[in-house]
Amino acid sequence: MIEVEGLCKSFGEIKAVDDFSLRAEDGRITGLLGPNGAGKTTTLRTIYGLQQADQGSVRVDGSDIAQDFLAATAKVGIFPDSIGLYDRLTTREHLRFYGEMHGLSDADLEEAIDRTQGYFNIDDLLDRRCKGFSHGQKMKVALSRALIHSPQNLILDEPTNGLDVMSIRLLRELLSRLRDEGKCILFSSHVMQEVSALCDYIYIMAAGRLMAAGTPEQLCEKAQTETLEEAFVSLIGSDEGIAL
Amino acid sequence: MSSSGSVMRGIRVVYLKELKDSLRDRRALLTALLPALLMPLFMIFMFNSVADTLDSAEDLEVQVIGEEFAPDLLAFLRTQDVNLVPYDGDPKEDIQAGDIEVVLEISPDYAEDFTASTPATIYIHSDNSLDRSDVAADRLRNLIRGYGASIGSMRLLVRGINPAVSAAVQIENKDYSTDASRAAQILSGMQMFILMAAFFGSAPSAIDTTAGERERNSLEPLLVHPLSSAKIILGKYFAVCSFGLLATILTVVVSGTALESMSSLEALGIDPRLSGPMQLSVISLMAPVIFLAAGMQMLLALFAKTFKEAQSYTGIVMILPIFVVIPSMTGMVNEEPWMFFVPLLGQQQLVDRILRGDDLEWLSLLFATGVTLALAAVLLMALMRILRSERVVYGG
Repeated sequence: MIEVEGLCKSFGEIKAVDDFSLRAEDGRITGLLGPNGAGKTTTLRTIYGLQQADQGSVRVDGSDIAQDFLAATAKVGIFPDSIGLYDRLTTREHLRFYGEMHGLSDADLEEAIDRTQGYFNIDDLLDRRCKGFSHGQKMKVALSRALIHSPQNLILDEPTNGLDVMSIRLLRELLSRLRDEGKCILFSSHVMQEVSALCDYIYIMAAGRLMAAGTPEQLCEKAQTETLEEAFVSLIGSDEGIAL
Repeated sequence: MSSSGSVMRGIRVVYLKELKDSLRDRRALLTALLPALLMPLFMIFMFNSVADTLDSAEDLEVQVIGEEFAPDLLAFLRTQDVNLVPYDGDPKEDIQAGDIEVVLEISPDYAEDFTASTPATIYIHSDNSLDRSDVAADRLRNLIRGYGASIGSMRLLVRGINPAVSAAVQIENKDYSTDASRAAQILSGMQMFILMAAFFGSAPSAIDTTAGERERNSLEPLLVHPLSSAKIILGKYFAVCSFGLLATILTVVVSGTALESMSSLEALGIDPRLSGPMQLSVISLMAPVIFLAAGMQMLLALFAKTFKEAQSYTGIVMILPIFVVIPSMTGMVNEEPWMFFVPLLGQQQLVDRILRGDDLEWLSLLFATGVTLALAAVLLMALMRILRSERVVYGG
C-alpha cells in the first residue's frame, strides 16, 4: 500500500505539486490521470524518493520514503520516466544486475529471470545486448526490471507510451493478474483508454492539484455524465493535453 | 544488510557491472590505456635524441663551400678536430631536411680582404630551431671567433699595440648545464607520465559511470534500487580505480622495460633504472594518486551538466601533473619538506628519489601518502553525499 499525504513540491516559483494526497490500496489498480504537464511525473518521483518533497509524506507499506529510503524502495518495483538501459549489457545481465541490487540470491535470480521474461515473451532478447533494441523492446526489458523481485507494490510512469498493441494487451493482462494476487499498483497516464480500461480507482490531476478522485462510476456520478471521458472534461474544465 | 558480507556484496554487484560495461567499450578502453603505452615510447625517443646531440658535439662535421679561398682558416679548423667536407648543395634544403648540420661558406673576396686587413666575410648556414644544427653552428662560430681574435691580436702586436686594449670587456662563461641535468629533465618527464597515467586511465570510466549514466537516462532507474548511495559509489569508484591502476602499472612497466633497453644513458652521466622491485615501489606509491584521480574526476563529472562538459572538466584535471613537475623539470626548486604535504607533488618527489636510486625517508612517505589519501577520502564522502541529490539525478 502506498500512502501519500499533503505532498508539495516547488521548482523556484512554480508549484509542480500542490497539496496532493493519494492512497493506493493492495489488490487495486490505482490510476493517476492528468494532461501532460499536470505534475504526474514529479508526483511519482517524489513518491519513489528521488525528488525530495517540500512538505508532506510518503509511506510504502508503512515505511517512510524520506526516513527509510532503502526499506521503502525494497518493497516497490519502479518503472520510471526514463528507461535507461546499458547498450553493452544483455537483457539477462540487466535483470541479474537489478535482481542482485535487490539482494536476490543466485538461485532466486535464475528463477526470477525465468519468471519475468515470460511476462512479455522476451526470451529471444535475453542474451542479446540492448544496443539497437526498438523502443518497445527496451520498454519490455524495463518493465521486467521493475518486476524482477516480485514487489508487493508497483509504480509505473506512463507504462504504455510507445508500446505496440499486442504488448499493451500483455501489460493489461499482467497488471490485472497482479492485482488479483493482491498487489498494489499505481500508474500514471495521460491516455483515457488506458485508465478507463484498467483502473479500479482514479486520481485526476491538473496543474499540480488533485481535481477529483474515485472509482470510474463515482467520477461519472460526481460530474453527472455518462462516460468517464465526459466526466474528465467536466472535472478539469478542458480536454487539453489528454489523449482518448 | 548489517553483516560485512552483505555490505561487500552490494559493492561487488555494482563494481562487476561497471567493470563489465567499461571493458566492453573498446574505444574508451583504448583512450584509457593507449597513452600509457605511448608516453614511455616518447621518452625513449627523447633520450635517444639528446644522446645523439651530445655525441655529435664530440666530432663536428662542417660542409664547406669555397674552401680554396681560405686555406689558413681551414687548416686551423682541422687542428681543432673539425671534419671538413667539400660541399656544393643547397644549404637551406639539406639543413632543414636534417641531412647536414652546418655549412661554412667562404666569400671569394676573403683572401683579398684578409690581406688588406679589412674584415673578411664568411657565412655560417644553420637552422637554430633544430637542436643539432644549433649546437654545431654554435661550436663552429666559437672556433672561428677565436681564430679571428688571435689573427687580430697579432696584427695589433705587429703595429706595436697591446692587444688587450681592444678588449674592453672580457666574458667568462660558467655554464652549469651538465649532461646529467639534461637527463634529469627527461626523468621529470617520465615522472609526469607516471603521475598522469592514473588520470588518463580512470577518466573514461569516471565520466561513463557518472555523467554517462545520466546522459543515457540509466541513473534514475539505478538509484530507485534499494542499495545505499555509499555502496553504489564505492562499486563505481573501485571500478574507476581499477582502470587508473591498470594504466599506472602499464606505464611503469613499459617505462622500466624502455629504460632497460637503452644503453646510451651512461654517457649522460645518469643511469636511471626501474628494476622489478622499484616498479613495485613506484606503483604502490601511486596508489593514493589513483584514488585521488578517480575521486576528482568522478566528482567533477557528477557536477557537469552533460557528458561533453564532464570531458572538458576531466581534461583540465589531467593537466595537474604537468604543473607538479615543472619546478623539478626546470631545476628551479629543490626538494623541500613542504612538498611532501602537497598531493601529487609529494608522490613526484618520492618517485624522483626512487628513479635516482636514493633511499626513501619513511616520514616523507607517510606524509605524502596520508595527505593524498585524506583528500581522496573527502572527495569520496562528497560523492556519496550528492549521488541521490536532485541536482545530480535530474540536473540543476
